[in-house]
Amino acid sequence: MDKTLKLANIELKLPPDELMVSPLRLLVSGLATRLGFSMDEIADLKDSIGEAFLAVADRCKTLKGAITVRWNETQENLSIRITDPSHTFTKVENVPMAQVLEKVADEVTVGEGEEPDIRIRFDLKDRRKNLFKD
Amino acid sequence: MGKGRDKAAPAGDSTSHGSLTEAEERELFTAYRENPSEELTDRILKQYENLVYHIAHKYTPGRESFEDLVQVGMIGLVQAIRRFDVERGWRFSTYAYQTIRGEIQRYFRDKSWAMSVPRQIKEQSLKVFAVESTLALKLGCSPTPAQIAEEAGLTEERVLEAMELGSAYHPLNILEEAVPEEASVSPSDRESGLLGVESDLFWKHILAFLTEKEAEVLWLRFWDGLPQRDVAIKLQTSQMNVSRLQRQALAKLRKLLRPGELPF
Repeated sequence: MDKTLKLANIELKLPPDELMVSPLRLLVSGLATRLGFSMDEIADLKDSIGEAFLAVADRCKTLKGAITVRWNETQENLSIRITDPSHTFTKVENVPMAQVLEKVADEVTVGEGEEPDIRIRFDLKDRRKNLFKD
Repeated sequence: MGKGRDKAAPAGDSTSHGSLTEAEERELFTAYRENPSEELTDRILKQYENLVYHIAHKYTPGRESFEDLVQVGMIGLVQAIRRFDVERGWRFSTYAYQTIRGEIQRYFRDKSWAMSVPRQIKEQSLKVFAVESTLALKLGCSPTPAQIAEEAGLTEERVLEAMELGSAYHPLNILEEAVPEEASVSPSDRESGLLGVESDLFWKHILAFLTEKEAEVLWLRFWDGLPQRDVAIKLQTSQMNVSRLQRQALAKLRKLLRPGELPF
């Protein structure tokens, strides 16, 4: 049986609605399970992505368009990028929430520019050891 | 933490909309608009906090949820202070009354959703959290969903679903009340670490808008870096309750900490 894990690159478009955060959290928990994340790590992942999504959704809830959530896996890292295509979401002035996100992820960056976004990174090197344990 | 607001409105207390005249109110909010300082914010909160107690008292059949309603109402009061436009000619108490009441009503709508969750989902959530705790003790580390699924006789999808829905689907009064080991949360007493002195002071004010349990959960989870299970052990409550408190607290923080709109 081929045990090679196929790397996933997923793009999801969601309306800027806080009701979408629960399905999003459920989806990422399923994706994280196949990467060998433990329950604690899944909780951290869900919390950081959920809060980042809500931060963006709050800013553009009265606008048309969808929030894009990009899930990108490499051998080293998992990165999640949450983008508001209406371009009204700029640098997060809400510093304390960014600090909350930083507590549970390996790295959080908030980007400016043509597609302002929130990027969250989790290191996969150690977690991948769990993937093929008997 | 939040203890200054931890009191009941006297029975039959009429709405004390402050003893400010219209001119005094106008002057106060004009000054606030020009300079929304911490001192002014505190003064306005103090002036109108009885309005929150009055409204919370109306919605409380018993005493057990009064504190929560006061906390919710205070968020409404903060929002009203931020948004109030003195040029529109309204009295602030009238404007704030609607905002506070709206916030409390929204809180009850969320709670009623929680009450209608099917029993099967609730039972599976309890089972998943219980198996997780047992396995964590046995393994010495956080188990994976696959391990929990095998132990609990569920599919991995069910485990993940139960984990997600369990924290959202528990009303306040059913779960055990936590008794924190420490008497109060005092962020400034803790090591500041990455946050620094100014951040500690900032958080001290922000966390005052949460209940004591909510503030404790947030601090242990995000500043002490404990996983939810360890927070539950420390606070002598269930992990599901910790998850619920965390979600509630973060929801309040999001409202309070909108970019450029701090409550002080």
